[in-house]
Amino acid sequence: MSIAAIAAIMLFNLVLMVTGACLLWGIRGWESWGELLRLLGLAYLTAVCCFGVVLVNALVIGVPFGWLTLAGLLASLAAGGLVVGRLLDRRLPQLPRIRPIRRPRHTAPPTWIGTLGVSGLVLYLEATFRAGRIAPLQEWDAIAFWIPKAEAILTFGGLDERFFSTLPGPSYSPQVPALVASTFRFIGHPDPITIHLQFWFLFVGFMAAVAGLLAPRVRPLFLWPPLLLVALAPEMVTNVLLVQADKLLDYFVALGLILIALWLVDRQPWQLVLAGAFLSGAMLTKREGFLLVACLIAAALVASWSHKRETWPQLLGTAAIAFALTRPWHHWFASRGIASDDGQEGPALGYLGFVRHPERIWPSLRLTLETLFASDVWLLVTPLVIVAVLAAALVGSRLLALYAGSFLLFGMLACSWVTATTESGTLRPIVRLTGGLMLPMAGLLPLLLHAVWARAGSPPALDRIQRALPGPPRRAAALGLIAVAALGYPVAVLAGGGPPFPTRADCSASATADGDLELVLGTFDSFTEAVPFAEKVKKMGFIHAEPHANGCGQVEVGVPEYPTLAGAEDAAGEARRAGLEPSVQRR
Amino acid sequence: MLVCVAVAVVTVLVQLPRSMRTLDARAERWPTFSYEDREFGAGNSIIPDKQVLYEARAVIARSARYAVITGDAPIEDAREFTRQFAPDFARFFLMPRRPDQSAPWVICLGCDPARLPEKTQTLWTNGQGSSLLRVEGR
Repeated sequence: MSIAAIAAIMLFNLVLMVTGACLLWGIRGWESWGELLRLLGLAYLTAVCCFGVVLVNALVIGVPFGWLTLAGLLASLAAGGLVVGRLLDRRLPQLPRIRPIRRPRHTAPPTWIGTLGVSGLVLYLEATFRAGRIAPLQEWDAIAFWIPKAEAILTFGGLDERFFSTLPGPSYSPQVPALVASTFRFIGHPDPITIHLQFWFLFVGFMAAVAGLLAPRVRPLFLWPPLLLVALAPEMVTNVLLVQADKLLDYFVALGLILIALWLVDRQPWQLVLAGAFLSGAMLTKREGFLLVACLIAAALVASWSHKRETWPQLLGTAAIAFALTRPWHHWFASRGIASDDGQEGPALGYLGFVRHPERIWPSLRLTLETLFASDVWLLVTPLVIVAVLAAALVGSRLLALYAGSFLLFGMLACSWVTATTESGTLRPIVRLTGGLMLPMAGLLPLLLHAVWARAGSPPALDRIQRALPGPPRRAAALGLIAVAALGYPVAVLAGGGPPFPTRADCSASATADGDLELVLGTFDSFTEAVPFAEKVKKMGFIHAEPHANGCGQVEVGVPEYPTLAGAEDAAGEARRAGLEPSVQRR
Repeated sequence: MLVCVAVAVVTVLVQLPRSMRTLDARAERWPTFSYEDREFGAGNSIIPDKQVLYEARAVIARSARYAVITGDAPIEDAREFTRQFAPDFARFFLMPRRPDQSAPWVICLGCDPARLPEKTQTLWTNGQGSSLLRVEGR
């Protein structure tokens, strides 16, 4: 809850971004520094994913958690990326190309819609940051187990099976706790308030990753409105900063889905390698990850049916490697007899519980559909995706249509299966589950719309809407507009005063004038300590001294009801002469 | 396709200011919370008297163990989920102290110390159902 804590989180995420840039250089490489800039979001989330997977597996084999482990793993990942890049003979762009960052010839000039899209997203991200900066921890799952697991990793130096087995969700993968513990390590102590900003960085990284991946291949008109539509969905506005694993799971699934969509079209090996990393990350984030990854792979198999000899072995091989990386954690909790909440693995009614309870099938499916189509949850994302899938299928872009449509269909069935096999009366996580279907649409919807446009041709009206910014220095004009949007919000907010950083000292307001004043003789962490002190000062003559909680988790022993500053200062003088350290405070 | 884009653009144009207002309202609400309310978060609706956990945090060593025992005696300001979820919140709040039913420290919410199997000393109580006890001999 301090500016130092925010700076520490920024530093941690900067380190992750640099690590990710090294990894991406090894996996993919880049042709220019501008291209690296465009892919920084993808690089960052690649690092988050790889770091999470490696850290969980390191903890499982008993590597102690600490600075040495964090630095060693991050450095190893970065070095690994550089070594692979070197072995694959990748080259860094020459330094003179840094300035100016040259736009590749095939890239279109900045457009109004792109500039406005970036500006809108920046404004929204700034407001989200401000809303999460000093937010109290209100999410129960974070209190019940995500944060305690993170603190346990931080404090006990690893996976403490006795402690983990006392928590709800003991078999949940510790990837998010390990990430949170790493953030706490950078902050220097557990900070359940500022930790919300770690999830803000993940959100920014996701938005940047999707935009960076799709910007060179999708027109801005098709990219920014769908991306903002998903980002602004009420479910995102409400829950994007929650200290839980759901959103990170959705980001990994979404990036895996988009990269496989691109691979199905381009067949670039790096797309499949990165997708595999994200699929592994998804499965190690939450148990639902296995379900969503299964839907994703099934959709890819369906979509690539006509090229199955070439694509299926690669898809299944990637999925198998990603799955294998989750086995050590499974072995860790299974070998210790740690089961899920209710003492069993899998859904409460059994994997085939819907067969024994067929009456649950339709209500479960209806609940999924209602959630997906609820405008107060996902706005109009679902109807637009369905229209885009049908349009893509009609104009002949069958691959993408089949892929997106199959994923949506399998995903809906999977969400309904979870509801159907979850015991009545328990919490149904349907809204959270649908995030795994809707966030990927931030990437698939632009691809579908662009595919339709590319097949059907461009109506003149569309070209008019997509007009480039006027004037020769178009890039400068676009950056200027974005800068105005980015600076306007903080300036407007800061005009009302600097941001508060609440501390315990806020409960001790020194008196500077007459009023309702108190002579505070001592401050303690508990009544247990304060009461004997109060008895002692009473014997010294301060007979009205009483302990009371001060609203900041501390107990003050003070003499209340001094109306004048002079009277209180006189009493403070007496206390000093008696060897105490008093202060006069406003009540 | 153009209709899809138009619908998305209009929705974004309507939703962006609405979301900004929601987020701004949230940002302006948090500074009005007291330090204690912010530190407790969701625990505000679980723990009837925060002082019992502040006492526990001050008195119980970081390496020590504690137990949360709930009972049927009345607890002033308790909610319907206090008894069920207080142990979970205490575990979060008192980390890295470990919960252990045979621990020497007991956070007593609506329990009757006289009915505990061992003799206890009351270190702090609000007299309204929340107490911090020390089990003698442990």
